[in-house]
Amino acid sequence: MIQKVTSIVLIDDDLAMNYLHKRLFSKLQFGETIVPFYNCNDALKELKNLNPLIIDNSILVIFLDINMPGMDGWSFLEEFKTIQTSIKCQIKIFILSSSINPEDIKKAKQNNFITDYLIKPLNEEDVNSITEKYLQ
Amino acid sequence: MLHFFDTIPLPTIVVNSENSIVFINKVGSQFLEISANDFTSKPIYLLLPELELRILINKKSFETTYTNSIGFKQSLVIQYDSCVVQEEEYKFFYINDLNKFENTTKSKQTFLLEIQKQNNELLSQNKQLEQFAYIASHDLQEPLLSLISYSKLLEEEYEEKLDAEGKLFVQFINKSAIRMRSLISGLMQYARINKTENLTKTDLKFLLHEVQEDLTSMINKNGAIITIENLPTIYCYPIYIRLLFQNLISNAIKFTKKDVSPTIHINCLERDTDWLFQIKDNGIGINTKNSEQIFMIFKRLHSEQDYVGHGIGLAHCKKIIAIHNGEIWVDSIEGEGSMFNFTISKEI
Repeated sequence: MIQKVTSIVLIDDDLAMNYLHKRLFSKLQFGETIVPFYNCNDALKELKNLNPLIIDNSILVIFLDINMPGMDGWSFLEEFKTIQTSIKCQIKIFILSSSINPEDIKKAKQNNFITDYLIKPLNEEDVNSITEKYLQ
Repeated sequence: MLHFFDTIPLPTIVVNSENSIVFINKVGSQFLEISANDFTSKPIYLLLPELELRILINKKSFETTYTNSIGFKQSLVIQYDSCVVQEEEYKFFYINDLNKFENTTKSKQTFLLEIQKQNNELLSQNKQLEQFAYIASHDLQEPLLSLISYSKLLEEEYEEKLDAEGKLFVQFINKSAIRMRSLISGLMQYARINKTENLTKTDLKFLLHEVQEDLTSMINKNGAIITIENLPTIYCYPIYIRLLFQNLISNAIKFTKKDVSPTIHINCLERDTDWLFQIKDNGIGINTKNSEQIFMIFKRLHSEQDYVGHGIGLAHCKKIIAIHNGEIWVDSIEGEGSMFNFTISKEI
């Protein structure tokens, strides 16, 4: 049973990367709304006020870059823990990284909030794979 | 008369009733690797810090530890005696364990060889790293230059054939490639910052004047006011110190509050072993929790949209100060400006 991915949130300071992913997801009809953010503070502000349509089995999917100026991905997750309970639907968080740094992968595996660790940029194959693995 | 002790084949230290060293014989100076003159009339404790004279009352021989000038520690067996000469009591210390002496000579040599080996390894690794950075950046630069050239051509000569999105794609390509070129160039420059042969006597007043000239257009565009006091003439690597000031001043101009003209004050304090420089600005300041991170290469606190930059300048400054045997740090309150402090050693 495929779950409806209602909202996708992209957090990456790189305009080009966010544009690429938004374009890809639209093309594949992955998610109903796709919202890009260019820093963690803006993303946190919006997520605090988020009130997604509660449809049975709806999901909020967050794609989070690690390496950003100012607050990085790890710090975002710390902050996010505190507001997470106010979000009333299922949440899946994917770390997007440009490197296969084993330290980062280890850190990701140990963090319960993280669904998986992915290398950017994502392509069609990646989207199909995560839909199959985590969004059914 | 004391030269008679030079005939004794054991290292000998003669100490008077006030426990000051009166004489160290030739063998003694050689063994301890010191110059006797440096220790004559000085307390015995200076030479043998772990000596406890009170234990000598009942003993005629004891062990103590001696650390030489390069940190090599050895255990000495010392035989001791005393006698009265011309109504003054003298103590005589004979370092008496020649077997141990021979062994320590061997282990000392091994110790020295080990240090030499480590030094050579470090030098070789450094050289390799420099070569790697240099070669890597040359090889990385080439495909990059093609990338930049062809995306520029695409933009210029295929403009009508590209739709809005196509033009956007080309802009993204260009921006990324140009950014990459800056990063590689910054990395290359970082790898090249090293001690060279020539420390030069430099008039820093004149150097600052040149830096300000180089930054003329940035200074004028931002209405920056720079005041300078007390700059001395010092021995340093002028090319690097020039880069240092350029980075710090341009940062002070760049990271200003909106609608506030940057004012920058530079001064210098002479201290015992170094010169302390301070660059104070009225800019946006830095949160204490970030005050060490900012010196890491490529580390940025603000997005490209807010303030242009690649996070290289302060990493360069840190390396430049390191080759001048100094320290660099920042005192700042977020929202209230920063004061960058750095020292240049008088002994480089």
